[in-house]
Amino acid sequence: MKKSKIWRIKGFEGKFSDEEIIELIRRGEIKPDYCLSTKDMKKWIKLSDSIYQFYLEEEIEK
Amino acid sequence: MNYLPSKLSKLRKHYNYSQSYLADVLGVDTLEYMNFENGSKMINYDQMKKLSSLYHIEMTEVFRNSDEVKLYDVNKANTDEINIDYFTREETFADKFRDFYEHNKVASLIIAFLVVTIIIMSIVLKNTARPYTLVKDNINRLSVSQTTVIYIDDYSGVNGSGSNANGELSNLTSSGAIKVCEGEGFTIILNDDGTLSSAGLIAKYAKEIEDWKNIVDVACGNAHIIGVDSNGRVRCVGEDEYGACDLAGVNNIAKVFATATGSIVMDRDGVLQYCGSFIGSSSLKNYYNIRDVASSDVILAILNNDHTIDVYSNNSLNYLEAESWDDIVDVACGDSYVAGLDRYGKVHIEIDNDEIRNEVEKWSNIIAIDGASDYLIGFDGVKIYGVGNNSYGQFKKEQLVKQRLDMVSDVSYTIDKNSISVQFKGVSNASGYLVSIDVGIGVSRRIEKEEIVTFETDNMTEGKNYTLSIVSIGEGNYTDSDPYTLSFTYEKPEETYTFKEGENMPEEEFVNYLLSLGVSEEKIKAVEGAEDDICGGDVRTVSSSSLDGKTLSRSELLNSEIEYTYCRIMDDEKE
Repeated sequence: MKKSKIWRIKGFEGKFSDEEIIELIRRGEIKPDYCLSTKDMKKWIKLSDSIYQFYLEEEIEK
Repeated sequence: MNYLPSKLSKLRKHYNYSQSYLADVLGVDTLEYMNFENGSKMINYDQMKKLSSLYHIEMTEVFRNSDEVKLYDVNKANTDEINIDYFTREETFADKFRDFYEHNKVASLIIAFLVVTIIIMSIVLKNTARPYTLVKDNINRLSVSQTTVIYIDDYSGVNGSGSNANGELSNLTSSGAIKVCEGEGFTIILNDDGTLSSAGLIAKYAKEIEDWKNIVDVACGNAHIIGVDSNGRVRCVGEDEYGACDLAGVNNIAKVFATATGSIVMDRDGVLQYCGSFIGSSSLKNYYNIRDVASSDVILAILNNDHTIDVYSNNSLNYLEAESWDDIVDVACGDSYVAGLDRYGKVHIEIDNDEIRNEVEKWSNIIAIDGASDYLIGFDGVKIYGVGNNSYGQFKKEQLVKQRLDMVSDVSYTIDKNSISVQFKGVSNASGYLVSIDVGIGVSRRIEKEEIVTFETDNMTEGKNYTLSIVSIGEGNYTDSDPYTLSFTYEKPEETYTFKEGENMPEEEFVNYLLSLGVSEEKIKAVEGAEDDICGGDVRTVSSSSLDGKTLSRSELLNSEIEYTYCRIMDDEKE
C-alpha cells in the first residue's frame, strides 16, 4: 500500500511520509528543534516533543 | 521513551471504553489494539486521527510524546489555558476494583466487600461538591439562528455573518470563547474564564447574565438563555411565555440544552428534566445520559451516548435513515431534514431533496454542524459550508473565515555562474514568504520580508525544467496565499571574459590567448603604434586593443573584429 505523505517540516518544501521523516532523522537531516505539522494539527510540534523523539534517542544511543 | 502506548491506555480508561470497542473504532482486531497499548506495534496516522476525533482532543496532543493531554478548565478564572493532567487524578476506587477483579476473579469475598465499600463511597462522593468542568469541544464552536451564523475561529475569536438587525453580530469580542449560541436577534458567548458575553441582547438580560460566574455550559432558545455553573446551579433569563425557564428545584446539573421555547437539563448522573413547550418532549422521560439535542418546530433529534440518533417528528417523514447512522458526534435538524456529523468529519443528511443531499455529501473534515428551519451549516475550522435558504446572507458557499493573502508579484530571477537569485514584490499583511525551488529537500527559504533570495545551482541540471514557488505566509486573521509559481529551464549562463585597460603584454602572448579562446586569426588585426608609442627591446608589446575594458561572452568575443596596437621598437634596435 502506498504510504501517504502527510507531514510538513517547517522551512522545508513538500510533504513527507512517516518513513521519510524517520529516514531524515537517521540521516541527521532534521534535528530535535525542527518543527513538524500536518493539516490535521493546529500547531507545529518540535521533533523532540513528538513521538518521533523515540527515533532521536535511537540515534543518540548509536 | 515512547509514551504513546501508556497514553492510549489511559485515554481509553478515562473514557471507560473497552479494548474491543477501540479495536472496532480503529478497524483492527482486539489483539492488534492490545499491541498498540503494550507498545509492540505502532499506531498509524489515520488511527491517531480517529482517536483525536473520538476523544475530542487536538491532533497535536495525540502526537505529543507525553501521557498528559491539554484540556480546558473554565473554573479557574483569569487563566487563558490550563494544562490539566487528566491522568494524574487520583485513581478511583472503581478503577482499583476493576483492576483487582481482572486479576483476581476468584476472590469473591473480597470483591463483595469492595462492592459494599464502593456503594458507600459513591454516596459520600455524590453528596460532596464536585466542580464540573466543560471540556472545549469543537461542536460548540458553531451556532446558527434563523438569520445568522456564528463561529469561533482557531484563535478563539468570534465571527459571524447574516442579519445584524439587532446588533447580534456587533462587538463580538472575546479572547477565549469556548462556546457560542444564537437566539432570535442575540448572540451569547461562553468564555474560558466562566463568564458570558452577549451581543444584541436587551439591556436588562445583558446585565443579568454579566453577573453569572463560573458558567460551564450555556444554551439559547429563541428568546431565553439557560446556563449552569460549576456547582451545578442552573440560571435562566428571557421571555418565559412557554415556561422555558421553569426549572425550580433542579440542582447538581452538568449540561443544559435549549429548544426554541423549552429547556432540557441533565444532571451529573445523566438524568434529564425539561420544561417549556417543544415537540417530542414527552419522549425525554425514556432517555438518560444523552450527548446533545437538536430541535425545530417539527423535529426533535436526540444524540445518544452511543453516538446514534433518535428522531421524533410530526411531519410525514419517519427518519429511519438518520436513526441508522453510527459514530455521530453532532446533530442538527430543520423543518424537513435531520443531519448528523460523524467522528470522521463526514456529514450525513436525511432530506427529500437530492440536490441538497449531494451538496452535503461533498463536505469533508467538518468539525461542527448546526441548522435552522430551512438551512444547514457545516464548519471545518476554516471555512463555513452551507445549503438551503441563504436569504439573510448567513453563508456563502465555501466562505473563507480567514482572509487569504494575495500572491506576490513582479517575480524575476537571474542565473549567475553558480547561483540563481530571485526577486519579487511582496504583499501587505504577510508575516513572511516561503521561497522554494523543486530541486530537492532543503531548497527552500523562509524570509521575514521581501528581499533577494539566492539559491546555489550545484544540484541543477542544465536543460532541465524547474518550478520556482513563492508563498505569502499568513498569521492571525490571514492564511497563506496560493503559491505563485514560475517554471523555467535551467541554462548555465555563457562564460564571460573581461579585458582590462591596456593589456601591456607581449604581442605573442596576447594573440595566443585570443586563439586559445577560439577567435579566428583573420579577426585579429595588428596595427603598429604611432611615433611616440615606442618600446625598448626586441619584444613587440600590446599597448591597447579594441577589447580594453570590455566584458564579452564567448559568442560576442568570437564575432568581434579585434584590433590591437603594438608599440614600435626603437629604430636603433631594429635589425
